[in-house]
Amino acid sequence: MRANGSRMGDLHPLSAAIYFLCVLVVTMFSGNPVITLSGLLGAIALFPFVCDGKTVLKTFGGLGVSILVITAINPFISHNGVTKLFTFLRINVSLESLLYGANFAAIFSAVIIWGACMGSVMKSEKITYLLGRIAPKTAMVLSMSLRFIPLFSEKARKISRSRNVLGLAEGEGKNRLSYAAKTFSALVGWSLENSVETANSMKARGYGRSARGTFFKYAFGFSDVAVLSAALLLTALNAVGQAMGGGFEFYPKITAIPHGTTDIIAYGAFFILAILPAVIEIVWRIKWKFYESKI
Amino acid sequence: MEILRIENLSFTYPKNDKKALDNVSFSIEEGDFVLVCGSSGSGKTTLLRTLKPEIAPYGEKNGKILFCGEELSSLNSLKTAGEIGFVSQQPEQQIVTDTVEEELSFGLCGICTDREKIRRRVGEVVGYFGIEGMLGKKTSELSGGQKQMLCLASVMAMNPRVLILDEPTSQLDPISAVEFIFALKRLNRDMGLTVIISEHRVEELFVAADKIAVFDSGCLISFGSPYSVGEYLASSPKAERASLMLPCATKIFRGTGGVGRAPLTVRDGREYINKNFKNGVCKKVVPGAQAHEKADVAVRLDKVCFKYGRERPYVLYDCSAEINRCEIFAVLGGNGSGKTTLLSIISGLEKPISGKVDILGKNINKYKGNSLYRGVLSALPQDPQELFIGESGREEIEQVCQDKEKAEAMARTLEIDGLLDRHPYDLSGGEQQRLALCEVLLTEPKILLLDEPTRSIDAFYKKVLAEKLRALKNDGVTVIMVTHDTEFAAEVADRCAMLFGGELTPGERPEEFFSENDFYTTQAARISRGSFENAVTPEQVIGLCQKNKAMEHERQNEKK
Repeated sequence: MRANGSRMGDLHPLSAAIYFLCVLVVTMFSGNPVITLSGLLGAIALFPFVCDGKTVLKTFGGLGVSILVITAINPFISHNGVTKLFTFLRINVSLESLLYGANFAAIFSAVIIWGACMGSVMKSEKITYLLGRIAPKTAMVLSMSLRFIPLFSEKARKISRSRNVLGLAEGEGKNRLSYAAKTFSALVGWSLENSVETANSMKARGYGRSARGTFFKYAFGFSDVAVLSAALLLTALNAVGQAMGGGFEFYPKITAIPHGTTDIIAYGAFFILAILPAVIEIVWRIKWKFYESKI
Repeated sequence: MEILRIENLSFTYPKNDKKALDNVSFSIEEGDFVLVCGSSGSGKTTLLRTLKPEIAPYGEKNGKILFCGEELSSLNSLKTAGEIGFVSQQPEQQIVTDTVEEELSFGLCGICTDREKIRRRVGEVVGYFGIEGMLGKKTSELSGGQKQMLCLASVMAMNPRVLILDEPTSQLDPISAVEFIFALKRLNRDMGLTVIISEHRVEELFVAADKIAVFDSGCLISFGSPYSVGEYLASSPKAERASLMLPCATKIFRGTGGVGRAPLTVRDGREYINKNFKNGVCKKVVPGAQAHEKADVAVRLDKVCFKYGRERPYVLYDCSAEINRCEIFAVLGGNGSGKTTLLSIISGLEKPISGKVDILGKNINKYKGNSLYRGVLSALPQDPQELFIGESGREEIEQVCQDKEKAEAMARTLEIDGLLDRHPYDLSGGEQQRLALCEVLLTEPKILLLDEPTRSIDAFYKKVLAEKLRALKNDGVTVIMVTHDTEFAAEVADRCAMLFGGELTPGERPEEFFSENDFYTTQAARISRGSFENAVTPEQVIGLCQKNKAMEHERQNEKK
């Protein structure tokens, strides 16, 4: 069941989900700049392998801008730092708040990119597969709503186009607002109407009994075991290392980045974890080149 | 073996005095292919839904429905869910899940929890229906025809004994529709599956069915083999409306005063004409006078190129056309040939990459703001629901036309005046299409664009629509329609053109266009090819036959 051309896409949904969750949690909650940077680096390295070029460029562009904006705005919101750099519009800009902003922006970007990678690897059938056993109804609702979002926006566009040609355009000012409200209510009506038909189709096919089978089948192979155990081990190593190592604070005065042995181990473990999928993808592609040359 | 027996079935919807089904009785044998037909609102859908307990309509029901000898309502829901399959007319709304595999296994997962068995069944139907190409896709990526085929496969995976289909092809183009019906016939033949299908486009099914049930305002007016039903429809005064849906060969047979067993198929029709009318001298229809030799051009396309994205293929390439004022111009073409795109270019919704579009002699870009859509041009979208945002039909038509009497009159012509107080979504497919048409016609444009105007409309309203379009033409309106319906195009169009490979062929009169086409043509043209040169509608064939007969008579009289 290969979803896209990536090796990550071949993994069993459980391994992939746990891997992504580990990386996301560590990146989000650590706050240590070294961890943040490793997370961001790993995400950037994996992104081109699982998404198409257009999405990658668009996301990088958007995130580049938001990193700058968040970094620049933070000093004006938070006045906590003590190392004063300069005064702008009677507000003291401190080194700490600037760096905190930058770190936060980097975490934000890393989470977005990891999220996008996860979305591309974990196709809807994998999510419903995972949830199907624990919460079959939730899985069903999820699968239906995933289908509904594109339908809804497409329909809104079509309504507006078709009515425009009849000379029933949006109008201006207040009219525009009431027109939008009407279109929205029509859309809601349309979706309710459709859901009646969908519900009928479900009922007609005997939906509603408690026990449900599943169609999908994913083999849990060696690579799944390897990725799953690597994810769990490295995350545990990182957590222990960070807990035992030195602390790091931005406010009130930025502390030195801890660099004892345990800290180095924690950084190393997370760096390997974050860069792992990109390495897997590269190795896999090299292998393919090798196979192809043999063919 | 008798699989379904219906005895004195009556049904009334709540808050409704009129019976939707009135004392209906008939029986269906296992392995029968039953066609249920009748004009819209005649109770077809009500009947079919009552046969499927899970989705039976609410209301007062009298009479008996026996499934394999047992009362349907007393049966276990697990049994009826699996053994009676149901496919409705809206492929889009019937699909529940996001991916093709999930959809195929949806019903099965409910009645069976053994994964290996589910996979085997799904594998079986995928192979049988030949839909391997759909696997791994998202359901939203599929075309309408593929979606409907997926619905059918998903129901068939549950291994039903009876398959009920409510106008399954009404949202499909004719090519996908024929493919779908072919799949049904094959299921019926290969598996001995009992099929009960309602349809308004009955040309193919009329011949294929074992039994036909004809409904008129809730009553079963005729039930039996295609021949006997054909006989009844052609002769009974009660069935005047329903007789419009007879196959072309039967219409010609009746129109020429044939006696005996009426032909149903194209093959039988050809034989009938060859035998009786071939020796005539009159082979050609005299086309009406060419409408204004040098007429004004209403829409001019000059080397228009268009595509939806930089890396996507061209939809229109070097496409040029001149459409005259006061003419009905029909654009025909296969699926995905760009017909709808062509209309959105003409209506200014899409801008061509290169080339020029002139509307009434003025470049389309020179129409500022909404001036193009105020009294100049108006369009009927492919899906009528795209127009409806009001609470009632009346609100819908009054927002395009302040003159209430005029709006009412138009609604009366299309026979939807009685439905105006209902919510647009509560109307049937055909009624919605007529309401949308009414709305579009009320904008009184100089140029009218119609995208599949005859979709889900039955034979009777097709005639009404044809008359309305001709009247509009005489009032100076230019009509450009995109359609798959060759019969309709042959009847109303002044010129027809084919869109293929991004280019439009030069427009020809339907007599020339359809008589030169071998595949993409009308039933009448297929029947009369060889005997006559350019007859493309049943009326033309009948006319020629009668002329020939008269000449034959004269000749014989002279001999005497």
